[in-house]
Amino acid sequence: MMMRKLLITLTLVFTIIGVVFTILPMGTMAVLPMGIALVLAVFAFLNAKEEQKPMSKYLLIFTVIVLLFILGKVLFIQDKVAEDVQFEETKTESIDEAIDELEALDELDELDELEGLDDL
Amino acid sequence: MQFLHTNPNYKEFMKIIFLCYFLFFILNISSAQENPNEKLVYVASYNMNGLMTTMAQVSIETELVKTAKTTYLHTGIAARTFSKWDTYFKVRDVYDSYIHPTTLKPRLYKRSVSEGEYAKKEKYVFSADGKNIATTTSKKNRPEVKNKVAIAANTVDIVSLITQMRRLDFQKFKVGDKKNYSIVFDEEEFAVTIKFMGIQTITAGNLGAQKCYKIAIAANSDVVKGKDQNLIWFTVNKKIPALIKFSIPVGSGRLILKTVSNLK
Repeated sequence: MMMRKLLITLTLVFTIIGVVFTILPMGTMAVLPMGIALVLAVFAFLNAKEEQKPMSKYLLIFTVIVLLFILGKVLFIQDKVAEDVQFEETKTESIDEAIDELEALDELDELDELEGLDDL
Repeated sequence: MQFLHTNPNYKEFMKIIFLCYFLFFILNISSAQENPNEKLVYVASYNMNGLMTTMAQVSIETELVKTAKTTYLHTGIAARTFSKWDTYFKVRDVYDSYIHPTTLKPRLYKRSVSEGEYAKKEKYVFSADGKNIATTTSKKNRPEVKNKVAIAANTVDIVSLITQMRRLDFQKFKVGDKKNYSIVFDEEEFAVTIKFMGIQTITAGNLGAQKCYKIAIAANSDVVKGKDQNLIWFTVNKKIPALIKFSIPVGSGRLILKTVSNLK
């Protein structure tokens, strides 16, 4: 009885962690707590008496569904970067500024060369 | 996400970011003059409890930039967290370097980082003789700071180092052969050693399976960890970095080549 309660409690704890990790962008990390939750749910189901089976069964089904959802998310949803117009504009502006700075540096180099010739 | 910035682990996180960029610059080997307009796209992952979690997309683009007198090689590196991370910790970083085409020495280096609440802009102007850099640094809500830093004549910025490295003929290297360099980053100079580890065949994004040079990188800095655990695989034919693995005091990660475009 105690064993079954402990298994169910642990299953619930790991399931909650797994669900939180699934909501957060943790990728495959969510598999870890959900895998543990699944194993615990299986043990809880096997340890349950006939009249206690429904709860363990629903818990087992829930962990399997969440685990499948995580795997589906990892396997089929591709990582994407958001379109960021401001970021692209900043990049372009930075290059334009750099070209102006390089032009100024070229002129400075030329002046230095001329001064060097004068020293001769 | 202010808490990330005030968290004591933030410094460690910044080290990760630095190391990533150090490695991203290493990626530039592929973007030297031989392949202007080349674009490489990588997926960066970090090891969380033994499981690799994808974090960001890193793209490296090269182009020739013309002034009235000179044509510079411009390499731009952009890192962006995937949209799933943007709500929690948004990263928008850009590194630009402008290298003189004949001397392969840097003339201008710009860095703009935006990581969560942290933002910093940095500019290095290298003197013609390469012995000084004029730096301009600005951080969020702080005044701009200008400085002049003396460096050794052979010290270059990371991108220039890589461009020089690309000139290396790895075919002549024997397993265990090393080469030393000196670079400047965050206004500090430090030594970098590369070691040839042999040839392996690995998957290189849309290029498929490729024979690659395996190179270990060590830096005289506490940002890297372990011996021969910071590795880069360059394709033999075009020296494109196909895979990068890094190991740092707080964990490990990798960059995997996803796509290569405009490859000549």
